[in-house]
Amino acid sequence: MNRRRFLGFIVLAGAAVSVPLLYRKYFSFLSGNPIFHPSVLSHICSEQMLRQIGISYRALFPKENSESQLLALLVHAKAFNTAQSANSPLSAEQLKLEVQKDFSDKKTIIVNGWVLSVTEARQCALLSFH
Amino acid sequence: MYIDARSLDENALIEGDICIVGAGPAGISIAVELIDAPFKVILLEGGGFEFEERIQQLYDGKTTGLPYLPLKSAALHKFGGSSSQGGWAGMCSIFDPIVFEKRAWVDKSGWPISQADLLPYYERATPYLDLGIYSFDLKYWQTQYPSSIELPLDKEVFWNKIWRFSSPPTHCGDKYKNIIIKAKNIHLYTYANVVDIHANDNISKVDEITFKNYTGKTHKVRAKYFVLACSGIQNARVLLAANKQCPNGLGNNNGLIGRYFMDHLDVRFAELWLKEYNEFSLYLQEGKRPRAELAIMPNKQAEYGILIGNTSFQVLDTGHTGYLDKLTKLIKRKFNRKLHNAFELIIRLEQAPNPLSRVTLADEKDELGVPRAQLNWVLSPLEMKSIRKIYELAAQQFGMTGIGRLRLSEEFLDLKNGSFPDSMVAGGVHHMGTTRMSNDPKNGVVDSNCRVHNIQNLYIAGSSCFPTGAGVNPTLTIVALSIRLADHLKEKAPG
Repeated sequence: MNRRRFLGFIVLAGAAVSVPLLYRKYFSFLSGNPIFHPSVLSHICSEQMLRQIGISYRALFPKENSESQLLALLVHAKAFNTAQSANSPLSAEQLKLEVQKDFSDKKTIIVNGWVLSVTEARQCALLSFH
Repeated sequence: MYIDARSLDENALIEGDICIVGAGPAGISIAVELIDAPFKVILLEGGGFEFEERIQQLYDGKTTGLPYLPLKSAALHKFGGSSSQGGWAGMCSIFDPIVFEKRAWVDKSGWPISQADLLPYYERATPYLDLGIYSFDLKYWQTQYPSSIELPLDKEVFWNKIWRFSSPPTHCGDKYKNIIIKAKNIHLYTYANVVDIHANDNISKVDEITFKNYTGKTHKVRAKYFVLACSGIQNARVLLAANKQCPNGLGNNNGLIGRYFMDHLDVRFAELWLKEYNEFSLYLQEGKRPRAELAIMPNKQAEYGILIGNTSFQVLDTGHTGYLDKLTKLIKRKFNRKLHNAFELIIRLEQAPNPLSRVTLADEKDELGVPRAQLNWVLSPLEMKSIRKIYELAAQQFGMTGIGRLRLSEEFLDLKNGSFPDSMVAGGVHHMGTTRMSNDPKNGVVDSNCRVHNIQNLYIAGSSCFPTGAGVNPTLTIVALSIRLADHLKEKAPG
């Protein structure tokens, strides 16, 4: 094996190991973080539909069209940034209660025909950034 | 006893104690109640025992206002009426107490009778439609069908209204044809279309009615009491067309006949998607098993100022989101459980009484010389307000409980204020209100006994007497009210 072929092999082998790991890490960050997955709606809609809802929501509310803004709103307007929230996400239970409270308080919005709680609509919007 | 009126000699005169005009569910149930009573009962039916296009044409008419079915397709003109094959789905429920009450937010609401007055007759009406045990009680049916589990919705907002099913639907014509023909005191005449009603000089009493058929011959019936049971549109038409002595029509001193026409709206603008697959057996029809609809609590109707609308569910076959869901469904089906996760949400809404929604006479006449009916169907903003609020309440309840989510159709979301889409109209084909009931002649055509005000021997049977329509199919209430009228006639009529 000459030197060039050896380097090529190393690069390919490295890619074969690292790409799936990175991919998995990225998606486990998404799927493991309840803030990206409205609990009820995720059972009803495919991930693609959730993203479409999110995109529509962002179009309806341009002022919320940033990850940091959505995160801030989701944690009651605290000045969160993406890195912080990823490290200390809201729990699934907290989000579930927030969604229920939205419906109870009539804080609902119609996006793509779905009658949603504002919280879960924002969760979709956040997901749509990824 | 049965006579084909086409075989009668010209100008035949038929005499009896009670003459019933129309042999649909109302006319037939009155006649059956009067079997073996000490009266001679004349039962006139405009059609025959089978559907005939030429006879059906007599029901044709004009429509204006909102789009409606062609009138010739909106009721069946034959023995058995619209309870015949293709005319009735067999859905039955009782009208709730609030239907009969005066509701401040619904103009012209309120019946002169209460639900309590009608309950014994609902029970008696049950065997007419082969509904089985008389019960509309959820708890009772849950003991019979333990899988009938209620949705955990707020009981302050929704309650579960039980429906019963005549399954397969009882066709009154088929069921009662031989019974009526064999009854000695019932004289059934087919092909007997009423073309005129003649009253005494001071219009306080009907003397005789005239009927015709396609043979061109004319005949008369004299009786002590007359009952019009021709259907929601035709009752009004017959009275309006009896205008030789009263230019506005018989019994129409206050111009109410034909006004307040109502139908049920069949509203299908939303889907319910569940978080988890569910049998939903309490809410889905299967044979004769009762099912429930979601009804709004009366105090919430009052709070929001909305009409009565009951919500039912129809399974959407497309209700899955991915292969895992499909697999779950397949596996559970292996264990013989029918599971669903998506439904069309159907609101059956009453229409607010509206004087502009009206049956009048058209210029054109039918083949027997009777002016055709003209229907101007009109809805009000209250219907749309009620639909929106019911969807809102449903979305809120399903959201709060985490059961699922509502999705509204684009057609509904794009609606402009005050408009009604074509897909929504002509929902129930239940014709109501055109001879509405009230003890005040200024508010109603008939009194609480279904007698036309100021005419001592003329009665109306059927849904044209309903002052309001509830969110419920009318057949069971039509039969109950008709049995009540039969009891009244038994008391009134001479032995």
